[in-house]
Amino acid sequence: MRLFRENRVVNWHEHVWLGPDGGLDRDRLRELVAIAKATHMDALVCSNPVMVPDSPPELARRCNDAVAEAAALHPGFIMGMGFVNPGFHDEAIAEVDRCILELGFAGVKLYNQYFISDPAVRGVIRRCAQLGAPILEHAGKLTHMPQSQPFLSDGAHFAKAASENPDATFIYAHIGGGGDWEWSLKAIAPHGNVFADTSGGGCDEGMIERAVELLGAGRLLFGTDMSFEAGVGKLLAADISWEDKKTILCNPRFEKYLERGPRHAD
Amino acid sequence: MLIDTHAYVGHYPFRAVGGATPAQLREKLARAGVGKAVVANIGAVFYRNAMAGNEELHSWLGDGDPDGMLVKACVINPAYPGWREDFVRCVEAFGCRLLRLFPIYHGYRLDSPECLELAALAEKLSVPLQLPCALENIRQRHRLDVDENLAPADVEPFLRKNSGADVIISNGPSLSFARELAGAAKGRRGKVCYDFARLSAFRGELPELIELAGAGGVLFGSMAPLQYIHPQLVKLAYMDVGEDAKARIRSENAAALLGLAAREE
Repeated sequence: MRLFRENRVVNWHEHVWLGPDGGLDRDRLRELVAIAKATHMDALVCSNPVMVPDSPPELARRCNDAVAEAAALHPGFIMGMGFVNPGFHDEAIAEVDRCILELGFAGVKLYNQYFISDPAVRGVIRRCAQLGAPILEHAGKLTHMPQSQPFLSDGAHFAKAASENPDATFIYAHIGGGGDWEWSLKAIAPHGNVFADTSGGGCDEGMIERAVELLGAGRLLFGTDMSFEAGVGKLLAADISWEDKKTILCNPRFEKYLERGPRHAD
Repeated sequence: MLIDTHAYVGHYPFRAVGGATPAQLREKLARAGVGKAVVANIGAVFYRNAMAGNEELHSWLGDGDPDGMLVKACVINPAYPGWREDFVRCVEAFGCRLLRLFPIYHGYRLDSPECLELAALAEKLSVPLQLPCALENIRQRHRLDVDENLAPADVEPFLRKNSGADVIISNGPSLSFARELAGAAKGRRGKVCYDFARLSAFRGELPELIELAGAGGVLFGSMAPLQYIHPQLVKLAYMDVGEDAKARIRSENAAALLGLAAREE
């Protein structure tokens, strides 16, 4: 664990959740923070996505409020990613503004309501580009039961969105989240504005090495997505340089997004 | 010493995997601090005649692994002619200490008469049998690969009809298996053991698995070289169990089950 103990570790893919009372689930937050601290993490970038097709704007807002509450409870340790459903165009744009400009979140989280390349998402992408906010999109190339997530974005969807929006910054979520990760890595490799996070329970031998080979460490971000042992273990195991591991653990190109903070009404 | 009960050598057909030769695997295991690993030839899973894969394994490792690091496991398909002679040859001539079964890949039921006869023979020869639930995450499988994993419902009728064989269930949702198989496992002469390859060290799953499977029923298994070894090492480091239990999980349980030395001389 020396790698994690001795270096700054920013975990770009974690979650907080709503509890049974509809507010922030503080028990799960306590567990998350305890595990993250035990594994020597210095910052967690958390979102609270709604995983149903027609998630309404009011629910997205409540989820983002819970993220803001978690960030306020752990200032400097938890940072937010604001979730929106791009299908509700105007409300989604307004919520992006609220999350970035008022709540001081690091970026925006999209789930699988739409492919990232769908024209319905364009407005959100354009607004994120204007605000300098990276977009973390739930992703995967499922080879088994792809119909389980019919609008799950794979590498080709990211490649299209990246070509159409060269000034936007995309994060392909959880290369270890299941699916043919190599397929997607090859699809996004030519697009320098697409990054990938290393999270997910999948820990296929060679995954990190191949990701560094195809994207370079400078386009990778450390993450866990609730799979701490896999997230930590695959970085420890990877046959890449110490410097590349340090870059992935705290990607200098993304530090600027963590400097935003909530705007306080004075 | 750390004993890895679930490793492979040989060519995996659906993905280029580093560390597939015995020499490469040895290096990988040594780098992770694994002292011994039980290895089968992954080709034996995919060849129509699994025994050809066992023969390859024997040709690669010879009569005695020079440093004792790689312990041979055989793969037997009881639906393929000659399996009795093949299994006996694997144990007596090749020195295999473990029998790995792949009923989904080879197309038979664990409670088929042939498989039950194989399990009885394994018990007679003091060879535990291992049931890997999956080789790779189902969401990424090649279109020519199988599209299901071994489930508790596949194992339960086997356990009810076979009392004596020691059984290791690997690389699956061990806690669900242990809960669902608790009834069938009760009162058997043979052990039912599990690895923790798919469990979390942080959510109280390991203590519950130990409670269900017994202190002697939990083993270390990494799936090397298909999977990184270190995620399992992280679990071992962080699991919320006492040092005695950890020592048993690291090596003592596997050593007792497989008849291996648990500690360096």
